[in-house]
Amino acid sequence: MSVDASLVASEVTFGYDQALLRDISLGIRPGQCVALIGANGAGKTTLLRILGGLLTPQSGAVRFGDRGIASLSPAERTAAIGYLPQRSPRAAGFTVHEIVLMGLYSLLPARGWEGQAEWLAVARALRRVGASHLLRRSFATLSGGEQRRVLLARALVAKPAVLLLDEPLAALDPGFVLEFTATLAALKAQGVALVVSTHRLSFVRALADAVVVLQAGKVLDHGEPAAVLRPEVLNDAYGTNRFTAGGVA
Amino acid sequence: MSSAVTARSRRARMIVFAGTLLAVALLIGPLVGATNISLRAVWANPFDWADNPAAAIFFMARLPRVLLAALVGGSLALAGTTYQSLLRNPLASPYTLGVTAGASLVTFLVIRFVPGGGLAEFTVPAAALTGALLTTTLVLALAARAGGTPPAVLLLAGVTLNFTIGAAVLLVQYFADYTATARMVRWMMGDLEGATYRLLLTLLVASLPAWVLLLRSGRSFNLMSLGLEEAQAHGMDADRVTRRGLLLASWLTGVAVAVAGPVGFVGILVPHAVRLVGGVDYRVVLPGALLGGAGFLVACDVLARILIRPVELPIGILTACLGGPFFLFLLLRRGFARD
Repeated sequence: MSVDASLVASEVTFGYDQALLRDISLGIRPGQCVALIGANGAGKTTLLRILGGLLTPQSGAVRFGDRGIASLSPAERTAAIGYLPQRSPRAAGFTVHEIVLMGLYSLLPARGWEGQAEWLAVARALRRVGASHLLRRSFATLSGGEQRRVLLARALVAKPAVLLLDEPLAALDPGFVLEFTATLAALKAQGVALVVSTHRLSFVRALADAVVVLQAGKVLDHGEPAAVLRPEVLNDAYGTNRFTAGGVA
Repeated sequence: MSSAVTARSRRARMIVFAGTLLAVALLIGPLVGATNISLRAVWANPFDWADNPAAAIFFMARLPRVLLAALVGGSLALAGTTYQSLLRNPLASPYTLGVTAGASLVTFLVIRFVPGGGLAEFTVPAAALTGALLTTTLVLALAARAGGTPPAVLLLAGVTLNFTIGAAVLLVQYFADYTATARMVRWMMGDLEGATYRLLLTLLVASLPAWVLLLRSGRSFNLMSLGLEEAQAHGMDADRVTRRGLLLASWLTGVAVAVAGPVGFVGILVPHAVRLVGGVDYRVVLPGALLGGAGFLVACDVLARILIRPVELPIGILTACLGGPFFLFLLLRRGFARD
């Protein structure tokens, strides 16, 4: 794996019948947190999927270090990028242990089996998100918030250089939002790069080094949170006039 | 020991458990039927079939049939497990994508229009296999045109083809004479008669590569159970895994249907039973389904031969009779809806 663990998107355009993203450029360095904000349908999830190599842009490119994201082997991709999807899978019958362990599959030998090292990695990842007590539970029987924790553990378990988190705070109680924010801050301090799509502006102010505001697939504004999270930008991004200098009207 | 190690030991235990059941079924299967025979009588003079009718019955009539049941049952259960994983639908079966309908249509056309088609040793199996593979190819082509391999698209394509081909099947039956219609109806009930060692060898050679490839797909199928997005996030080519898995499962189904007719419920019932015993990890379920399906169909064949002896029940009727109550059990089982 390259020493330069930056994730860079260059002039990315993507769409089906109409363009969902147009000429988006973005760079994330190790230890940096970039927040993607914008109204529903602005293109945040699509951009995360492109950054994670789940969608191929029609033009432009995504590179991890000096490699195109599509050229990474499954093992290289697992070491490079952890992905937390917006929706939890149904995963009927699988235990929490089995779900988190799947995050290590591509690092195992072709027909090898997981051993003690993998088991310890699963336990460590679950402890990190405060979900150790869920280890033996059936994933499908967990609450929405508990499932988010488990999926975050799965995204973390291979210790990726970049974490792509799509609405990670959805369905989490306020207490865990604070714990979760602290967990991400610790990861940042360890050099993990974070790209987070969220609607929680307090979370953005607390953690993000940079904000990208998307509107209808284009970058409306970007920069440091203090410079971007202004009432006029937010009113424009979310199609309202209720953001004021003192907060929300 | 850690639970990470027990995943491997669960697989070993499943193989021993299902393998033992299969071995018992294979041992008992050739000994019972319209006339019971004893193993001692068979081995008293095993190769002098003219003077030892027990040995003749054992080696010429029953052993090939029992082995055929094992091969067909194993293939159908493995195919059913594959469909359930890739379509992320616990009720998916080897026939969900219209494989049986396609096999039936081409078979019925052969029975109806090819002179002596229903009697020829290889004409009907070849027709059934051709129909099964054509249908699978058509489903995948339709799905590709409609948006790729998401389960909803595949299911919709399969159900649409099932209905359309089903109508054609009825049309062919309607215009067939009574003899041909009776032969068609009998074929639909499933049949393990007529097994020969040559047929068994052909079946084994045709099935073995698909078995091996599917048995190695446990990790991929686990990831696919979480959804296409999750699978792709781990660098897996979900489209390729889906297409390959469905083609292999359909090949196994087509081969099984070609030699035994559309024996129902094995592909649903056995994988569910294996999951009840060994959990949902496909690295455990896939070998369990192969061995369990083999043992299950051998046991069903034994029952079909002895329930109303000396008359034999068609195997498909028996598996269908067992399938209904089993689903009722699943429905009423505590926690089914929750899981």
